[in-house]
Amino acid sequence: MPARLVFLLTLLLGAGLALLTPRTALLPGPMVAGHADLANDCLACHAPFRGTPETRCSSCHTPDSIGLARTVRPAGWAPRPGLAGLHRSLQLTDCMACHTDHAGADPASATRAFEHEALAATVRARCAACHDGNRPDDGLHTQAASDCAACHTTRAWTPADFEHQKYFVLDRDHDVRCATCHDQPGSFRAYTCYGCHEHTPENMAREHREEGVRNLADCARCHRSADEHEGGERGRD
Amino acid sequence: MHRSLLVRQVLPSAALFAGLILAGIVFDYALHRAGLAWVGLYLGPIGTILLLLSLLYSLRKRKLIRAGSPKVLLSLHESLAWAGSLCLVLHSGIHFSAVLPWLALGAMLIVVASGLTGAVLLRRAVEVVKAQEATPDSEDNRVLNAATVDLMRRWRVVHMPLNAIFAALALVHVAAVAFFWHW
Repeated sequence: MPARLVFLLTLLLGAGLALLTPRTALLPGPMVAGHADLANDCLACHAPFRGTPETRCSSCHTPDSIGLARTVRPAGWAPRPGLAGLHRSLQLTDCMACHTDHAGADPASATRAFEHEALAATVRARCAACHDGNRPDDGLHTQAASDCAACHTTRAWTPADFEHQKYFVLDRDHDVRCATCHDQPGSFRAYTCYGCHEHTPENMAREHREEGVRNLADCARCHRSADEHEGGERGRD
Repeated sequence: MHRSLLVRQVLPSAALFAGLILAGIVFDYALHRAGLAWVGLYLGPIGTILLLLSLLYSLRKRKLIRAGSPKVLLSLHESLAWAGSLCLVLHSGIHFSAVLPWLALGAMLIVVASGLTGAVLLRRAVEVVKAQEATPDSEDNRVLNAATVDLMRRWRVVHMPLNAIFAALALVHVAAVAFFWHW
């Protein structure tokens, strides 16, 4: 049989297979659970040669209802107001930037990693609007107020790069447990230097008396490291 | 003679085919391990371009182009077709999902096997022609030459329709991707 005829016949068979059984012929992996009934209705989401316009998504998933209402409710489904707030805050209108309905070989790939850049800058600056429940209930985080980005990145909560050396360098004998100095639970602003045997109030009073230093409670006001000679003039009356 | 045929002509072609499958599995595993499985998506168009470039030999052979030495273009045809096929094996991701792309992949592998068979026959034909040139009066060589030429002709009768099947299935796949693609 001539190659051209074989080509045309195969083309017709392939096209026929695609048209008659798109699920078998073309579907790149199973659909996500909520859209399983659309597996043979490609054009419910796809516009020919234009991909998947967001209007195809928002005609069912109105941005105001995402996380709050569903047309298909699996067992155990509950409203997620945080999800609703997140979607209302998105500056992107392209749903496919995060979602894809074809699970493919790896079902985890049905949702792409959320990027904070998808949020408007004003929303991105207000971490607590979405993450308030993540904030540890301790003094350090209470004092940090809403400036999470001072220590954390949007990649992960840990590691956080709080710069303790701005307040006191934790070197030599000072690389100790937090509670050695921060002896008031829940407050990292309060501290004491008398938590170890090296610094006793009596010793410190004696050493500083001849320097004319009377404020012996806020040591870090003058000393920001283990260098005892860096005190300077700040503590003098 | 038989041992020589096997070692010099059949084994290299068989090794190239096995190497294609093995390289596909190894590179696919490496891409997944490195979190670079997405690269496979782009290997589709790259592999297709390599395969199209490999057809320069076919154009030259049919005198549709005049430039280029047929010998060099044949060597390029073999190399580019192998490399392009590897790209498309990786593009498939060695995952089973839609049937049409898999039919296209299967057809491509059959074409590669057919092409490698053609390479064996061609090398055999070259040796037979050389042998006949050395001893033009040998009846055995004359018969062998005629048989080899006939075998090459028969091979083309099979190879071309196989190519046509692969091209048609690949075209349907590309058309479907273009139709549904989120541009």
